[in-house]
Amino acid sequence: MFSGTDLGSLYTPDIEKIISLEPDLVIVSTHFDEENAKKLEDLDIPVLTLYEEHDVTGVYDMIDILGTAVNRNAKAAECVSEMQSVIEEVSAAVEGLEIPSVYYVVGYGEYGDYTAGGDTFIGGLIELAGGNNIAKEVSGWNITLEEIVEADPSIIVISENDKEGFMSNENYADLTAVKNENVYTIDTNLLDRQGYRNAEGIRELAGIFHPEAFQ
Amino acid sequence: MGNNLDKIQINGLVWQPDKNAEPVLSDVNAMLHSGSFYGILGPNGAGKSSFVRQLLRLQMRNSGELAFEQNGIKKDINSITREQLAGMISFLPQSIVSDVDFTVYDVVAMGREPHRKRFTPLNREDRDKIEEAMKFTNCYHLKDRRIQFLSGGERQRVMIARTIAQDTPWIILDEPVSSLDMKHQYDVMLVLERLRTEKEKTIIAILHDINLASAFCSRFILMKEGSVYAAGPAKEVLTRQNLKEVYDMEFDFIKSPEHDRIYITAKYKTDIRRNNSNEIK
Amino acid sequence: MQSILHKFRRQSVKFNIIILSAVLLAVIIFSVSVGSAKLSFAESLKLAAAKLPFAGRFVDSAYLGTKYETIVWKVRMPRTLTAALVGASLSLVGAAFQGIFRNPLADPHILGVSSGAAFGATLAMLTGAGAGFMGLGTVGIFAFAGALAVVFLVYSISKISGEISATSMLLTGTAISTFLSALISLLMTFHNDQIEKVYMWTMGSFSSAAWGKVGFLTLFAAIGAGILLMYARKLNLILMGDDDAKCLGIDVDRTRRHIIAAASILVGASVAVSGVIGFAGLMIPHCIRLVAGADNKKLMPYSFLLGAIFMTLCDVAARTVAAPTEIPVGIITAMFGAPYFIFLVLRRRKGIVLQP
Repeated sequence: MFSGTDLGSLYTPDIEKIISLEPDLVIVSTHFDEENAKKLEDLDIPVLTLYEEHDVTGVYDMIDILGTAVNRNAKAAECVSEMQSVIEEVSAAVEGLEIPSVYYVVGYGEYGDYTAGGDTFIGGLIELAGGNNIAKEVSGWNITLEEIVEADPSIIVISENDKEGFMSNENYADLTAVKNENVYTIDTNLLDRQGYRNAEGIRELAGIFHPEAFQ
Repeated sequence: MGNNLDKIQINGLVWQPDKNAEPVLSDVNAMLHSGSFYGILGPNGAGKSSFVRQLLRLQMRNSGELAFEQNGIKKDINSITREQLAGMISFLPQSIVSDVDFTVYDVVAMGREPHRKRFTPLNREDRDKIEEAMKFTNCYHLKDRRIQFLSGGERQRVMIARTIAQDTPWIILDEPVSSLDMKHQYDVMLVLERLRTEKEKTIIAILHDINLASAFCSRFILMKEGSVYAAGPAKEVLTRQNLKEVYDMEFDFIKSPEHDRIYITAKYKTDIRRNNSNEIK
Repeated sequence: MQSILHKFRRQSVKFNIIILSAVLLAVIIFSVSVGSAKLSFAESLKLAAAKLPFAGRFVDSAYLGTKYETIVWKVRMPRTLTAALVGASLSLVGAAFQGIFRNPLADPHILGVSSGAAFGATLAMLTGAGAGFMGLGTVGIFAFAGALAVVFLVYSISKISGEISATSMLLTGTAISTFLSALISLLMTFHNDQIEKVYMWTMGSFSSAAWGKVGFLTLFAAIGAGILLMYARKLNLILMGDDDAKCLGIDVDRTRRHIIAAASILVGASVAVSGVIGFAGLMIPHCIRLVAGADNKKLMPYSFLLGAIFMTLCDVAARTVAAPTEIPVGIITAMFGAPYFIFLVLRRRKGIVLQP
């Protein structure tokens, strides 16, 4: 869909490079430096800032906006309705099924334990996929090892890169999910980045939580 | 035991720490015998401290002989271990660390280190020697005080007590009285003299006050520009000519009207010439 | 307050050590009984007591379930013990360094050992974690290796320059430390997404404590502390001056080398386990010195115990004050340390010092 050109990093984009490519539109997230945005605007390059959404419906709005911005409203509407039908499918499939307790690993080990709290975007996705996020009560990303052990989730979801380290870490060895090997990986890009692929992410999560329903 | 030390022989000793500069000690010759009270004199920079530090192997000499003689056997100082050295000579350096929070007792007890085994606490003999040392220099009443809060004179007595507690036959002191008032200077010199007469110790002290030295010391080493200018008894060393050469000053030799002492004082330009029947030519 | 401190000074060393150990035990029990799980203080106590040799018989905690037993024994206990061991080690090293460098401002991180550990840890984090060894994860192993590398470097460079003096080691350590910090920053420039991880690790935390790490730390703490305590008396003499110590029969260079080596390995082990925690190593020996004097035979064991007590309490604060968010322990120790230091400065000005 697009060619990949290295434009620097998230926090320090290469402004010169961006300008040299003569874009019609620059789409950025909230991390983008205000100063840099101003530079682009001064050169009459339009900048569209997308803010983080709270839930999936917000993502629909975001896609609509994008569609308007690049003049592809029809395609945008198509994406949105595709997402909606996938999610409806999932919701129907998990209706009435027993909801497992789930722990989603954002970070673990040396650096502390981090998860998707109840009020986060990912937290919302977990609920939609028919899982009971043990960090539901948590606001934000912080959780303690004690709380994880206390909740003793039936299923743990973690990124592919982190699984090995997590499984071999002494601290988590006593969790039921680890002992029974109910630790599943997912491509975190499906959940971390808000957009079209979130629907796929929800379906994958649902597949993990309710394998019987998604053969 | 192997602690007694009869003689220290120094021949042609050279110490040149910086190859690009003049040697600090050049061609030093001396023979030190046990039983004497040596006063080492000389102007600043003459090498007195350096000389004394060679005797303690705090510095490695470049060339020349430095040998210790025990029971007729001569040994080069380099072949003597630190422990052995610590059993033969104790040292009171010029500058004393005064901002460490130790009690007087702690400090004097350090003198017993060469006699102590690794993990053993102070034994009966240690404690006796420590107490004796403190009483000898009259600082026993200070034993629980912290050395930071002592006066200069008190601190010096404590440090000397430490060397006494070390119980070595020879004691070297680098300017032990230079910063003390007259009374304390006198007290300290008395203690050193008593150490020689009552305990048969050999004392080597670097002194600046010629009169103090002449009143107490039995032997003198006069240094100039890195070598020994003269050595021996007062009569031979403390002569008008020697002192003029070494200190680059003129001196008056005045006989005391009351007792058998000769005072050596420097002649000042501001002194007005006067006919004085006491003057010795 | 003064009178309590005076009493402390007058008691024999053995008595004081027993008192401090008792306090440490109480603090450990306290630490194990608090946390973010929904366990009451009494229930936690029961669980803690249940596994102890004597008390276990009188306590019925089975009804609480294995989950909570895990929390107390596999989460809180190793964490508490790690905090205690790290606090003890850092304080002991602080005392040793303050002695060997004759500088009351010396702290365990002064020779750049911690920077070496931080650098090793950063490398490990960037290349991805994996299985561990000897109870340490990859990060821990790399950190420890980094620490040892720095010790070796500092020592070798000082040796080449001819003198193994305190000053030359300090200068080398500072240079290496600065260099490694810059290197870490450079790596972070190219790996922006890892900044938070590295930052959190460097700040110091006991959140990843486990029995394996406790074992690792105990081994090194025992060896390191043993060596340092062995040299306590000689260190006293060195404090009076190099010349004084030499003339009392001490091989000052050798003693200094051994002390620095043992201390550095101890710091390396601590940092490998829990990141760089500052201030405790500086502050605790200082406190003790004010009360008990500079005699290392007292200063070292007291620092060891008080350090353990202090760090355990700081860890409790780190994980309970803003639960479930954990405040890195290094922040807590600094927040205690800075005001205390200012207090010390003020006290000095008024000329109030403890007199016998």
